[in-house]
Amino acid sequence: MQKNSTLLTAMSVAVMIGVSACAQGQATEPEATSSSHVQVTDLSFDRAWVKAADDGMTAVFGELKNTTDHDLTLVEARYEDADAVQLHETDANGSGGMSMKEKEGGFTIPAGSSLNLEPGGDHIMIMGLKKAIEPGEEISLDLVTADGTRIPATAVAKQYSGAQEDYAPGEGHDGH
Amino acid sequence: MGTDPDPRCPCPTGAFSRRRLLTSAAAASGVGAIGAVAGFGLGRSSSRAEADADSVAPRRDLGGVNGTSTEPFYGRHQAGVETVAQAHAHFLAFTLRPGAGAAEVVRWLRLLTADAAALTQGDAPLADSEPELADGPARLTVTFGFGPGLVALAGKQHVPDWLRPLERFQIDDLDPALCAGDLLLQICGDDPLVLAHARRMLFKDSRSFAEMAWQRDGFRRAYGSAGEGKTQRNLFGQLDGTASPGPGSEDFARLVWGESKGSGDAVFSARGEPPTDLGESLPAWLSGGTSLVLRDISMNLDTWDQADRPAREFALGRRLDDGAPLSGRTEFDVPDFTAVDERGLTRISAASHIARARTGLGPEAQIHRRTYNYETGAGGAAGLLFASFQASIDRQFLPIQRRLAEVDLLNEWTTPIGSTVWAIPPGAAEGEYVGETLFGG
Repeated sequence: MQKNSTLLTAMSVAVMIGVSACAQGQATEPEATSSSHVQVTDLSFDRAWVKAADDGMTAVFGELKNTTDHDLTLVEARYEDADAVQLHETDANGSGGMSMKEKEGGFTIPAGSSLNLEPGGDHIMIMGLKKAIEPGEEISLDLVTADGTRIPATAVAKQYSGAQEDYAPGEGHDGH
Repeated sequence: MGTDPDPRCPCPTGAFSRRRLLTSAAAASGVGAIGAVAGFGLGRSSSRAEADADSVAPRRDLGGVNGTSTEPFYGRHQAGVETVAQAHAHFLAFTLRPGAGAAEVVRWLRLLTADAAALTQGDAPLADSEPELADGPARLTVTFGFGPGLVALAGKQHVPDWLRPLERFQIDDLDPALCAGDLLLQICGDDPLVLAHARRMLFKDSRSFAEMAWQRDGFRRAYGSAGEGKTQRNLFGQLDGTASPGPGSEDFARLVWGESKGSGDAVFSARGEPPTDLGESLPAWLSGGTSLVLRDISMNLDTWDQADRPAREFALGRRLDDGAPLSGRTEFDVPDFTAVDERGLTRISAASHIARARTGLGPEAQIHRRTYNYETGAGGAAGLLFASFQASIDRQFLPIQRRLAEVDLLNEWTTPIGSTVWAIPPGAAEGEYVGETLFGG
């Protein structure tokens, strides 16, 4: 019952995510909308894009928007065609460069606010791509909030030269 | 060329009073509504604008008002065709990478559409690393053109007969490199910095699908310096490009989109009423679209310098200063090809540009020209990007072009060096991409 409720909720969320593919929106049943939980439908991932890549690593960016009156926390992102996905933050390394590390506790989006995921800042890191992400392709991923709700999202792939920050040494990652 | 009724026109020009002609021209947003044109010619100079310029002290716009001006992106027609010409244009032609198929093209078109939809409204597209440069679009438009190679990827049956290189004209000296391309982007706007950014963004999203075939930058008078609708001059100093159907007119709808606006009280230009069936050459996927013939016409400024003013005006058939036909007094006077001077010679040579371009053609032989000058530097290449939009290349563009290629004194100084033909697909609705009527959703 809980699982089913979450699924319906997730489907209704897809409708309001601006960048979502039409196919997802069309799958929504009217009853799904009426049964959704308000606090969940009010988190959206807009202007989402992913850096096109043949293999290895890449990253997803966009705007996480929380229109509820309480903080929401994104704790996990899932992408089928990769070995691992992490939520990363980026810090200045003091010499003009940036270093990335996993964000402990996930991304908190304050009530009524947005969190921009962007090159040089917070982002969703995809590691160990199992297949290429081609420019113009739309990938699907799931965002999971602290209360366990799964939010399907899509991101369009763009050829992009930036977002090449090195990992900070000693953070346990392989270098890029 | 013209702005005047053609006395040899087989259509009932007698039905048009001069007053009505002027009304028609005014109704056409100040852009010359009258006459068919090809090559270089004279346009209608707005006497109203001149009067304004005389009565108002020069002053600078310190508010940046035009920066915030936008042209709509989504709609039945693409912007950049009926749009009053902006000051600057970049023409970019791409050739698809080997192995690219319909799936790649659709991904490419989706990216370009999203970029153009954002940029033209002053918004940064996704993954724009210089989003501030998208501010102040200043009437930015991005117009897509499809070449035969790209259309064929959707199925050869979709390639219309006319979507192929033009027949060879004896005046041509074509560079094959300037005659290629599967996709054209016509990027126009009043702000060159915004244009450079838009071009960079669109280029970055094209690199993985295609290579540059050729590109040209064109310009007209700067925004605000001459007044909208006032005839621009080309690099020969000639008033150039007014004689187009006016934006929003029934003439324009029939001649360019091949369809009627459906209003019962249409006013037609002095050429007469264009037929309503010019759109028959547009296949279903091009409903709401049109065709573009883009001629890169080299202008030899050095040999033009050798011609003194009388020779220049003789070749053109008009005076250079005010554009009046050599038989008349003002730009709007109807050229009288029978008028003779004191020696008994016709004032307008039968071989002059206006005599060749104006005579003997019916009301269907009109085109919408949207031209831009180019010059690659002092002593460099100079010319005109002659963009001609029309519903039917066979019935509108070619009859004019054939006559000018046959005889036109101006051909002495001009040489077509590039020539491409493009299908201009209809505009996209929000959520669609440009070309969806061809490749599907």
